[in-house]
Amino acid sequence: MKLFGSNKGNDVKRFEEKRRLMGYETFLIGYIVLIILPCMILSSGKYAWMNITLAVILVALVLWAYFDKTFVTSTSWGMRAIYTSLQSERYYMNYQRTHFWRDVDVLLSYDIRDFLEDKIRELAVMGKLGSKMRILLLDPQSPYVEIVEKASNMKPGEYAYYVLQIQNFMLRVNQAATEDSIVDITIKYYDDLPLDNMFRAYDVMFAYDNKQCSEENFMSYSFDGNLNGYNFYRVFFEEKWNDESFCYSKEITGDMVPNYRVFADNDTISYRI
Amino acid sequence: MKKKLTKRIKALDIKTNYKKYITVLYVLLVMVPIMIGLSLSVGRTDDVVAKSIANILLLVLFVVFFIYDFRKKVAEDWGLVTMKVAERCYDEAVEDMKKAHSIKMVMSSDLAGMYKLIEETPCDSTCTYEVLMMNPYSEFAKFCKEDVALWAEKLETLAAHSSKNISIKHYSMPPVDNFILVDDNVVYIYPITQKLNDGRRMCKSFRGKKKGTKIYVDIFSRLWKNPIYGGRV
Repeated sequence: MKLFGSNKGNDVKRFEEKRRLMGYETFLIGYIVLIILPCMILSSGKYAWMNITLAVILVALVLWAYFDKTFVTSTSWGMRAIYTSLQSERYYMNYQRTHFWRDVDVLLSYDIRDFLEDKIRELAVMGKLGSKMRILLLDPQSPYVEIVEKASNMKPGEYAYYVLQIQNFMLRVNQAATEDSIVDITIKYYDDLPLDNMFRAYDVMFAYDNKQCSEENFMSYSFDGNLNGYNFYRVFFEEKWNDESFCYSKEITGDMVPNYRVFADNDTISYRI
Repeated sequence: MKKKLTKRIKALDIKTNYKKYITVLYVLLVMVPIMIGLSLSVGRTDDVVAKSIANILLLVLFVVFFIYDFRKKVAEDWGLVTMKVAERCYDEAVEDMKKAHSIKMVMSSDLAGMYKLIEETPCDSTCTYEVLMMNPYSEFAKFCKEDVALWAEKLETLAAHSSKNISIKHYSMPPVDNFILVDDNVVYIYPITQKLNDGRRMCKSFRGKKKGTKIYVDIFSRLWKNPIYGGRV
């Protein structure tokens, strides 16, 4: 038995944009061939116009739907929602789904504190029960940290502190894992221009735009599994994760965090494993 | 018992699959009984009327299942008309820019491409360009992979010598995603880092005075008024 979902064997090596109207088109052709045409051919008498009118309405609906750009955007891309706050994202995110946390990819740079505050409890529970988590973070010793801290309104050293907390989280989950569960949490770091945040929980993808100067400071798109949006960000993550010249493993220690004590004293994030 | 029931309801995942359940209920509770009723009334109902009723029922099913889609509603509410992954993604913007009266741009990456767009796109003589570019002397310019100073100079020269009405401001804050606002009505967004290894990148556009466009109009006006970063605006 497979422990982790295979995500329907999707090819994650290359991204190809697909039009996902096959179900729609098949239904339509079947409907016209099997229902509308026989009705029109066989109809006679004074009520025959009814079916002809219906056929015209249907064709108009089809053309309207087919050439409506938002239909392609939403259906082919599988865009489920756009959120402007973590609270609304949390409200719509379905934490109850049993397989939701089994296979998790996290790409985190901006707003690391808010992200942890919002999701660390669920990550802890699922990590302990058995979850494959891949976490890609900006190296806290990278010069690019300055950008992240400024954009996220953090103090110097604060980003490094929360990276250390993620590493500690991984160690704690590994220690607390039950005997029959497989805990597989891997953290990698990169030293480059900070990537926009991304979070995949099995078959749902959340892509975050860095909105440092908008009113809400937050904008995320969620995408349903195996459609263009999901596939794009999945391939994007895989490319980065598997590129050894881009990311690497590393151990973060307390002495890499300037002002560690100050941040530790003000840290309000708590979770139980 | 109550716990079991709650667990069962949660397992059904109604919040995600409500459309599926509505469709099943519609077929079972509306379509099937009416169809059975119609077939039992053979002889008493006109054949064409019966077929028309069946047709209407199927049409409703079609509308419920395919035309009404909550995802489409989200895209409509936000005015999100384009999502695409492309190497050349300025083509659509060019068409709108040709007819524009006001163009606002933020350029933080792909400076050559954005410069070319300003230089080569023909536009109305009354059209105004407002271009926000990273300050080449800011602490963040060193993180850009392109020569910000060089392109800032080129842009200044273009503004001075071109017949186009171009205003330039430089912002001093972490890089903001490239975007082009046309007449405060359409916005094309080109995220800096959402890029695949083969060079294709994610492009989005919002159209109409809806949520998406409003957010970018707001971002631009905040940056234009206060291009020096001083914490979150």
